Amino acid sequence: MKFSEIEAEQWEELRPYLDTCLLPVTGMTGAESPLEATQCLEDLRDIMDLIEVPYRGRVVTYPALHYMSEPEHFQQALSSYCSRLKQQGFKYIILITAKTNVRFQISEADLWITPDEDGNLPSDADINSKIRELWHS
Amino acid sequence: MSNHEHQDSKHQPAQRNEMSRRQFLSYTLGGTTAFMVGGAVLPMVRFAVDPLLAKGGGATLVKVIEESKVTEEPQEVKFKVSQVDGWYKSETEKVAWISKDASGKVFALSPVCKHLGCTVFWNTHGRNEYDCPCHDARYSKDGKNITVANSPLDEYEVDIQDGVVYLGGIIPNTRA
Ligand code: FES
Repeated sequence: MKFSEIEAEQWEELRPYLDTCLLPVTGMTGAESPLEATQCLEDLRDIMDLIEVPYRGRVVTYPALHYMSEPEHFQQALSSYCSRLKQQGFKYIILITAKTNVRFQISEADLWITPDEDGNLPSDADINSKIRELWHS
Repeated sequence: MSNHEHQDSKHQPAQRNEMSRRQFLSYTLGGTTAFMVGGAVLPMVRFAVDPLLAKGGGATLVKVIEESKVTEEPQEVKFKVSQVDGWYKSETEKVAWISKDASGKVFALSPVCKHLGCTVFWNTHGRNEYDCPCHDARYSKDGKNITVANSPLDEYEVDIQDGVVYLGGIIPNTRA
């Protein structure tokens, strides 16, 4: 479920069940026209649907990182966000993007969900087996 | 034929919801506004998930499968319904698990887990049960809750006409 759907008085009760954080990376650079920005968000939404809908009882979607800086800086920033998310209690972190050039090596994260090189979305079955594997690891 | 408005869900490419303005804004604003479909709020854990039961009655019936293809082994069917959210109309893809009971009656279950709303699958562990990937809830073929969840899986309204199965809105489980 989205972070913002969680009511204050429910969090403590839900916390043990919601052990996985989904951190979306839009991957824009600032060079996008309004139409391109819309497309980026729609593509991100499409790939996020593959996780947010079927696993909504265990995965909390955080606000997206929309813009990307130089790759090394961005990679560092992403690593530190992931490690803080873990420190505050998430057991697993799933990074997700609809871009094909955003998959950085982030050791603090447990899984990347991305399209393939041609931009095709992963199948439900693919995601299902990756997520089951992650949770049983 | 009845006066139901039938929609043929076959031969349409799988398609996701159109992004509603509210959803869209939730991203453009960095997710600071929640999008809450139809005003549904997260229920308390102990009350389990109750997906818009009130909307069950009077929903448009959608053609999903020929009756002759329904077996005792549950099968997953996907179909689309249009939904109006404020001024925005969108199409939502729904999933049902459809099967026959021993007496040949066709029934369709909603795969939304009654614990916290993940999607259950049929027979992932070879136990002839539905199971939930999130916290291992299990349900019988009739949707009866066996572990973790406190209530049975919901059903879809089923209508059979001229050998074709149509599904409508969500109704509480009638079998478990
Ligand atoms: S959502 Fe918790 S077991 Fe299904």
